[in-house]
Amino acid sequence: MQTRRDVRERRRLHSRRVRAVLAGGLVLGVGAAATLAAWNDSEFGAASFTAGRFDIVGATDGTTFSSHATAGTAATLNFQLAPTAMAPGTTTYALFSVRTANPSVAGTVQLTAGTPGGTGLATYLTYGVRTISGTTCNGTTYPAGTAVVTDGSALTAGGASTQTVTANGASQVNYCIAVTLPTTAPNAAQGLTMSQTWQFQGTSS
Amino acid sequence: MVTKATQRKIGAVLAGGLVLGIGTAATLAAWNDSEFANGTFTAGAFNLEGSTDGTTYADHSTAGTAATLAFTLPAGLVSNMSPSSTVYAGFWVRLAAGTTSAANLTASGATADPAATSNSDHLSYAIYQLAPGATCNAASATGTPVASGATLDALTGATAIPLTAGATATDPGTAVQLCFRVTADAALEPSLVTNATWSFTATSTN
Repeated sequence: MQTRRDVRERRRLHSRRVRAVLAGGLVLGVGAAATLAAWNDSEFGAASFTAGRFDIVGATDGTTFSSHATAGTAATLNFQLAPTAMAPGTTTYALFSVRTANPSVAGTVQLTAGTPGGTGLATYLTYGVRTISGTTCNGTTYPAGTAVVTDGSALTAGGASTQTVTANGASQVNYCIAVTLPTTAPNAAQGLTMSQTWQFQGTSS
Repeated sequence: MVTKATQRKIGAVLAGGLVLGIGTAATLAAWNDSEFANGTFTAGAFNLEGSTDGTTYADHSTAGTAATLAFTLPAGLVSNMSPSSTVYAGFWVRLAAGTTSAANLTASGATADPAATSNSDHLSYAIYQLAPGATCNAASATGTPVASGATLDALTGATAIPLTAGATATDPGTAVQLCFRVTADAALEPSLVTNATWSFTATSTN
């Protein structure tokens, strides 16, 4: 039979154990605190990141650049020998210069041609595009250029190669566009019209 | 009924598609910007017209609609030619109003009735270029012809004559008079009627 004394004894024992465990925990805590007793110092590096820009601009005179980013705001090319009365054998030339804006990363430019409008002269016209070193685009400078669109191509033809534009407008690409009504154009071509929009699509590199 | 397994499969396929979609988007990882430029082109117009009197011009663009030359000089002779007689007629040509380019005019053909039934082999001709206001006769039809033929159906020595377009869209070009001289040889056969047709072609020169 369990006496009252036995019960008290057991409770006391239990209490001692709890205190012992608490005391042990305290000792551990002190130990843990002791590990902080060293000096600390840190160095921090910071940097902010900003995305670059890619923006190309064009000029019809080789010097006054602005953005013509949609077909609706296309630059009107300044064709020499205003092509208002083309006759068989007529070739007319126009310059379009492209470069990156400042600031802008570098990129490449791909020439594509739209669907010709007008009353059907596109059937008879041919054209070619070359890059030239200067900004004078005419029958003298054109032959010395580097072909982008082969001479005699249909008006729907695009560029066979891409051109590089350097960053921040450091250099410009001068496209010389030559549109020809061939000497073989028949009488049926008389009085017809054609309008065309060329796209110079830049892609960042 | 849709089982849990089916749903899981659909979920897996959708997840796969999502991954593919991300892959496609990744190929656009370059920036794009475009420049657009345009131009408008219009072909010119070109029309040659002729006149037998130097005043009233019209198109005679096929042999069937040829202008009938007025061989009125000397008076009355053209319908009553005799061996060795010569008749003259003028024909004026110009580039019509609205023509946008200059041209070179060249005699491009001569046809006539067959020699067996006509005098085409006994009539020779020469064409001379005169000023628009000149009179086409023996006195003016001299020098080097711009075309000639030993018979009416022959054409030799065709020389280009420059034609100018009008200064504005409503002005015709400056006219050129072509003076035809037709001469009968000594063997001209009596009573035969001979018709001849000449064609002139203008070619634009820009």
